[in-house]
Amino acid sequence: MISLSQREIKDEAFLQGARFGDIIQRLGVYFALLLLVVISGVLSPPSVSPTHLLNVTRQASALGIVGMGQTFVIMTQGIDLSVGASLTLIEILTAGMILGRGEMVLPVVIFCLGVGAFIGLINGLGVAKLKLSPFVMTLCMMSVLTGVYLLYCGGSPRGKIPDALRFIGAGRIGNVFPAAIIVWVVVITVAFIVLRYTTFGRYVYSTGGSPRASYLSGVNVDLVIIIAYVISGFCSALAGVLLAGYIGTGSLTVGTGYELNSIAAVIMGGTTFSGGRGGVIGTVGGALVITILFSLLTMLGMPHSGKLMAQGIIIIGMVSLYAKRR
Amino acid sequence: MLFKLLRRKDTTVITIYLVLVILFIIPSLISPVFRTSRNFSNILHQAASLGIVSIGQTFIVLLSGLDLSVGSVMSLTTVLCASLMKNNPAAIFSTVLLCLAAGAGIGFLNGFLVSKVGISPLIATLGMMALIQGVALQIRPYPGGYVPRSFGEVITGNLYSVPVPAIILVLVIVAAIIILRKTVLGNYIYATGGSEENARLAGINIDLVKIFAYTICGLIAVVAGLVLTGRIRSGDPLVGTSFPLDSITAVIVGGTPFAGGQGGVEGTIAGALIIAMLSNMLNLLNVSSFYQYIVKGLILITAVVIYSLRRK
Repeated sequence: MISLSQREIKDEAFLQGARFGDIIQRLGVYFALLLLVVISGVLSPPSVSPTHLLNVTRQASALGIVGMGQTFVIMTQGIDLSVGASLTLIEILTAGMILGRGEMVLPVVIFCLGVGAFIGLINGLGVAKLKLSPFVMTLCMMSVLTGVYLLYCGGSPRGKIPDALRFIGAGRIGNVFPAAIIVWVVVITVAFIVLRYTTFGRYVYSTGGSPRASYLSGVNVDLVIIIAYVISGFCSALAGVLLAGYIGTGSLTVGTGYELNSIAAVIMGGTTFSGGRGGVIGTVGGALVITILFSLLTMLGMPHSGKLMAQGIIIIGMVSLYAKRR
Repeated sequence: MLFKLLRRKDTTVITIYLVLVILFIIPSLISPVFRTSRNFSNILHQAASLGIVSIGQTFIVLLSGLDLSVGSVMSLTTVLCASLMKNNPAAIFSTVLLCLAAGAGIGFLNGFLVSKVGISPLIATLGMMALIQGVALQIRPYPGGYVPRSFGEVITGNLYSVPVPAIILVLVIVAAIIILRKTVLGNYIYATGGSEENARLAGINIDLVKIFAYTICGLIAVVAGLVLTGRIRSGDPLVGTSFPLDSITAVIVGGTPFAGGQGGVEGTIAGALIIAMLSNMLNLLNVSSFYQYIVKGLILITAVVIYSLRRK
């Protein structure tokens, strides 16, 4: 396997004194979030009304859920580029298989979540067992999945989502609280508990920190990596089902940008590519920052080009702040 | 060169060229359209911009990095050309210089972010990709505009019956091979890609090596963008979208591992030709473009699996 490089030893030593830096890094994204909300409030007071904030949070939930899975993968020094394509595939599958029949919701959703987990399983097997670079493995998966969903729908997705699923995607509980947020909160809670309070969670941290050391301490590193990718595939599928409920029909472009935005959310949230550090709470902040930023720029009437420039500058800027600690 | 390759026992490059030759022979036997000289020149035109940008990408992958911003740089080049040259042949030279300067600047910034600031190449070039894409869309939100007739005709034309894009491609390859195999910079790139820590301990200024490599990659992306501009003869802010991942695919299929430190442009160019020839072949066989995504993914994974098995 991988030999213990000098960099890893340095990282280990670095980890000892990293607690304080970690906290700053984790809080940094929430500071940015607060700043964004204040700026939005100053520029346009209605944008900080509870209704609007809830709405933005609902918009962020799909990205947030994908980000949860991405967090697990990045913590194990991996990356999952296939999340956007698998989200689109699941969205199209859900709409195309349910076809408006209320009684089909449960079986189709279960099937689709299974497909998502299976995609993750293949990614995980490729990375852990075949030792392929995560970037290349998931890039291939992205390409293959794109072909699969185009073939499935022949280039024009169809389908209709019954009311039960539409409610979860787009409905509001008591006409106030978006149901999608509840799904997100459940995912966050589960991910948080898994990462913090279970043996598997500790294995994720240790595998990311040093695969070699974890292997030598008897951790089944391959299994940890495979499960991380399965979680990521499952989360993308869940986001796909949610978005199917929101849109109400199949869409070819629904997953565009999710791979890069979810990675950006994770990194902004303080999880590092070198693995072993970070957590889900930062990613939640990252997903909110990205969504609120886009919402703010839209409100300011900024064209797509301006949004892209702002996105680029903010990603580079925020990550530069963290990187200085190297 | 062949003897040198054999002596180096670097059979990867030989294998990849064998695959290329097989991929060339089979469709030539099946399809009469494929073996027309018109189609060959078509493939060369298609492969040229991908081949050129993949050579730049090779420098980065050799350093175990990657550059996702090359596609945006190519798009930016086409919109800059269409906006600045318009119908004025006198502006060609200055516009080309400006584009090259912009590409070098963007590459320098990438290199600076990766080495001095210490951001991972993926995130740094991802941010840069969004930023430059935004700039390109700001200049020209929709495809349009045109470049001087002479510019398009020179770039898509033939010189002694060899397509000009192929000549540009060969020039870039030769320059890249010289840099990588005959200069100190090339040695440093391989050393840094092999092990940053060892390279640093050996006294190599790895930050500077990275900055140089990213700058070269930015410059080469502009050259690819210029070739593309000559072909489409207008500006298109989204024309480069597929190039970052395609160029990485070409590099990996060409035998440079994602971990860097070995391989080189000799393989990359075969990788780019394989990708261009496959999509040409699938088009001629009337295979739906939907399948082409799957085929592309499977080829990349097959290549990587074979390489990883061989290196074990």
